[in-house]
Amino acid sequence: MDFGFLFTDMLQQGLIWAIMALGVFIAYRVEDIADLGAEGAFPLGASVAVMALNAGITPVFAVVLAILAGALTGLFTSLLHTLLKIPSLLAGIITMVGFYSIILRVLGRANVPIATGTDTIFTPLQSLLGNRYWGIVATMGLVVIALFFLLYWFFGTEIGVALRATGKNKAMAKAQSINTNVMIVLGLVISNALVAMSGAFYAQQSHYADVGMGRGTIVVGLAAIFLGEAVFGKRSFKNTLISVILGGFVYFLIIDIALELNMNPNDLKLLQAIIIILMIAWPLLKKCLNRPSQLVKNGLKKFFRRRPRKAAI
Amino acid sequence: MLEIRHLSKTFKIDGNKENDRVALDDISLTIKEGEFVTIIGGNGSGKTTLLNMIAGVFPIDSGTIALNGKDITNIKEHRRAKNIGRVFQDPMIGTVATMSVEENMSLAFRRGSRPTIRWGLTAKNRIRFEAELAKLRLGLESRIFSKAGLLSGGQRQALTLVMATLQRPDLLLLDEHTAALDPKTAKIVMDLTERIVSEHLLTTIMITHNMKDAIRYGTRLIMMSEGHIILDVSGVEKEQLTIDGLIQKFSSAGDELPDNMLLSK
Repeated sequence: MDFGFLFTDMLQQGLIWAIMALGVFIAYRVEDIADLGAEGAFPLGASVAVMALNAGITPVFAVVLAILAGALTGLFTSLLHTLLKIPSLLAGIITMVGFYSIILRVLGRANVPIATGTDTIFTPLQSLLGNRYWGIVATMGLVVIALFFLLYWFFGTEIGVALRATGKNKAMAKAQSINTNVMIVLGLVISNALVAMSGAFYAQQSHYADVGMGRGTIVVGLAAIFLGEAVFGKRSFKNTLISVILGGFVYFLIIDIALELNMNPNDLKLLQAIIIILMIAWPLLKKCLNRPSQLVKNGLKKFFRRRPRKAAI
Repeated sequence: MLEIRHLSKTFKIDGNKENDRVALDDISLTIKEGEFVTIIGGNGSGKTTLLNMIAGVFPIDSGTIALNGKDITNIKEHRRAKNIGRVFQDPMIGTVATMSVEENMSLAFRRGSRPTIRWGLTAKNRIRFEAELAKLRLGLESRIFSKAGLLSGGQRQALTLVMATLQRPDLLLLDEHTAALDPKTAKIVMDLTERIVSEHLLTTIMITHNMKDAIRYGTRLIMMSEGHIILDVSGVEKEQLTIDGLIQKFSSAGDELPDNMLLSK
């Protein structure tokens, strides 16, 4: 097994997808909304960034444009949900489907590479460090650290706390005079902006944008959240933020090991699905692992029948 | 203070008119500044609906509600919350379980003003919060960093009560806030309620199905049945009320006394 590859790929991918995971985290964990619109925001961010770069716009501004485009998808989904009362899951799917056409409009065709010789956001640190790969890692490292502090600060502000309360307990939020609709819009705008930002970095790392590159991305984000929380804990908000960021590394470590073990890349999506199932079922599985003797003694049927009674106490 | 005029609300179950459930039928009620009103009634009498209409949880069918002379009939729930403090029957609803006591209180401290991007938790506020919690004499002041979900039901209700009054509300709404607690804790929370209400001179509406509490606390008692007010007493007349007297009034209204009220006798 090539441990060098494992480590380097894990760092690079993990950092880029950590931003995706943070975006999905804000929708799924903070706002309690499974926002499939993220699968539209990711390729939209990538497309806007690539087209902007090819049009000669500076890399930093290209990323800013991608973030704004992502904010737009979040705005669209959240307005469908709050103004038109469309269930959030459906609103996200509508955004995902609708924005497919918009992404095709942006790109003009299904797949557009970044023109050769165009500077990307990674170029300054790549030439400084004299290494393509470490340039990407250093740039992404700085971005992710900055994002961590920015988000940690934001979710401690009055608006941030109100946003968290809205996601956890709407009745309480309203009783404390919080406009929950405004908070849902704000949360999804931030979430999608981060996802699109991740798409913009991903496109510059892989030098292309593709209309289909969003497919399955929300699953990567969710996997990173679940893995991170399971491995690194979720004791406090700060702890959870760090866990979500590190979860991306764990996820890519698993994927890269699978690839190194000669797994067919076509089977990757199935592996993603299995990881998600395992992580969601984790509390149940942990019970099995903690009391294997009971399992052997009583058999599966009796073992699982014990659970509800335990939970009731 | 609170002026309710010809308030009606019907819940549509399945669209069939004969299945519609009338929750409030042409209710008119005026509550004066400083009154502590207890509302008693069986299940389905409309008492919780009345409270929810005042708080703005659902839109009303017809009628008007005015608070402090201002018509609030069409004002959204979160805007009304600026002037209305609330404690719910379910101890889980009043606070956010995954946030610390301090964070919950900081939200309540900002009630009525637009949230800003200032950091919500400051040392100055923490001292204020601890002082308010210390007044409860439940030892909550030492648990200000604990997550609210780790508190017991009674502690959460006490915390919600403090949060509802951290910014003095014009009106305090208590929706059977001791019903989910064991008798001993319910007593503690009721005594705290009385203390806080009298300390801040709060205009209060408290729903209960405990006749003893309805008689013992408050300055005015309202009994509801099938969407109507069937009894409204205050002053000396309320002080002379007995449980048997209440049961009699109930029976004379042609209403069957609900089991949960009999049990709490």
